[in-house]
Amino acid sequence: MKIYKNVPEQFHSQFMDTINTIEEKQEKKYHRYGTKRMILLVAVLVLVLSTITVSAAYIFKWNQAALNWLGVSEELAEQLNQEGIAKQEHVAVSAAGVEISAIQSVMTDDYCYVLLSVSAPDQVPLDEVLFRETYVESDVGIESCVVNHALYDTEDNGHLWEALLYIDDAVDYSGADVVIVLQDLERGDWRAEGDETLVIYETLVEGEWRIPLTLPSESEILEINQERTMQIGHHEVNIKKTEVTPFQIRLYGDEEELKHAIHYVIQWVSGIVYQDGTFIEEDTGITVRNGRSNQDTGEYYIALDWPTAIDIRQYADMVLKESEDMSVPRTWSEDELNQMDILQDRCGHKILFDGTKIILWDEKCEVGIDIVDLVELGYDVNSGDLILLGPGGLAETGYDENDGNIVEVGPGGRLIQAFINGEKHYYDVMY
Amino acid sequence: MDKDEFLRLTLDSEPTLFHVSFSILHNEQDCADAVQEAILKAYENRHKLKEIKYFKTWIVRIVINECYSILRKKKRFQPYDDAVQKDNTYLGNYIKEEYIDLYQAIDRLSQKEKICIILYYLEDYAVAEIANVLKIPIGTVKSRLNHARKELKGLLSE
Repeated sequence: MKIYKNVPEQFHSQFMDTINTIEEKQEKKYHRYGTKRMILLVAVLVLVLSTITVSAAYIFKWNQAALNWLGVSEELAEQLNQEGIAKQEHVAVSAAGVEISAIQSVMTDDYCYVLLSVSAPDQVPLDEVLFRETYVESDVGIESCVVNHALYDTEDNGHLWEALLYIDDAVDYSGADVVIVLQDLERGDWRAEGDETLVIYETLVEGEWRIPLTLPSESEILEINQERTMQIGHHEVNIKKTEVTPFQIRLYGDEEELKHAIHYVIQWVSGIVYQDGTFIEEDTGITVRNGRSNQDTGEYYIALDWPTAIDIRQYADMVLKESEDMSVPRTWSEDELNQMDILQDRCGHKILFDGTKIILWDEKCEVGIDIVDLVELGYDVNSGDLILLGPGGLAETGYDENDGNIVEVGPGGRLIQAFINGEKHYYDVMY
Repeated sequence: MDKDEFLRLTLDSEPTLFHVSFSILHNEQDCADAVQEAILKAYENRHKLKEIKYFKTWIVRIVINECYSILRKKKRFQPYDDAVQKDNTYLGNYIKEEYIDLYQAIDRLSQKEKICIILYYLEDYAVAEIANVLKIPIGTVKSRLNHARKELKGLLSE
């Protein structure tokens, strides 16, 4: 739709000035050395780098909170250090009596993880506050970040925080300079006003903390260009290529097949195997990201975020469960189906509810493929109470008798939000 | 990416960069400043872009970030009524007269929805490209477009 007039003259003029400024810039020149000298330089460089790398590995030990968050063993941590994917940070900034230090940073596929240490005067309850505003200043297109208390803070005193700087796989952020900007520490108090529950924020510390960082390197990608057929549930999925990083496994294939399989793949993955035959079980904690498509090449993939970091130099294969280990999909008679509530989740998939079980319906194959027994999870069919569920690291909440909401019920890494309101039941299944 | 290629791609992007920055800043000088800063930053970091086909989404994202940076610095809040009065004549400098009502309606959307509408309908970005620019899931883009369409329908029938 062409609703605009031409670009205005003033804007265009300044735009062209910028273009001309760049045109006049000198391109960096690269000197070419003779072969012998190149070899000598390389040898010296390797020796120097090796020395530095070994020293860094001895000096830099990962904080336990970072090891736990990223699921990295100490051995793999040392390897990631050597590859520059993780680095120790030595920057500290102070304002308004609060000091924030960056401890370490680690580059994953979707974000750069930065572990922070915060110290404040005693009267500031660090475990009760959050930063009012957090963002990133960068020249490389990173703008958003999320900053929270460290999930695995063993001391649990509010001093350890984690910043996740969200990145894009189209850009190489290795060595990019960024500034994490944090503003004002505030505490939120829940208050009931009439029928509403409000959060009133109180600023405890006014200040701005600007933490300059140089980002670590992106990891190598192990590319396995081997076509194979994977049996995921009752579907055969043709995988054309697999890419493996320390934190993610990407399966490339036909878009429709993968879109269909995405709902089941988590249940069917049992882990990975290394080249020496070591099997690393991974039954919970894998999350699947929505598929992405490369519009030029047509390559489509789904990405599995792996909770236990992978040593890509040792990686051999992903292991799926045997069909015999899984529940067999079944069908229901028309009479049985008529007894059930038939609803849709937010993806448009049919869901059946028989009063105690949630059944995910595979329309392509006309079978019920997955059953979640709410009674096993603690659902009281008489009162509608659902009590404290959620293995696999999920937050646990229960059933609100007032508004009929059940939130975050989740076995096996899947998240189910179920809204129950009187006689009508709504289910919103998220993966 | 060499300098000539960078300049060629940037020149091609000029209208989009103005339209996107204008949707956020509504001030021609601010737009010029934001886009200038974004181009210079993009040039310095052009070697970090892995593939040229992502250039447009990448530079648009940098422009959006620069616009938000300017907004944060100014901490500007303009009451809607004042904006409408000003926009009746001011928008006419940039928008074809027959589309001013439409643009004013788009302008009343939330920032998140507005940028999706601008990129999708006015700049012909695909949903997947918008997801890449804004770093949000494709489903969220669709949801925002859907919600924005409903809002626009209501606003335009007022």
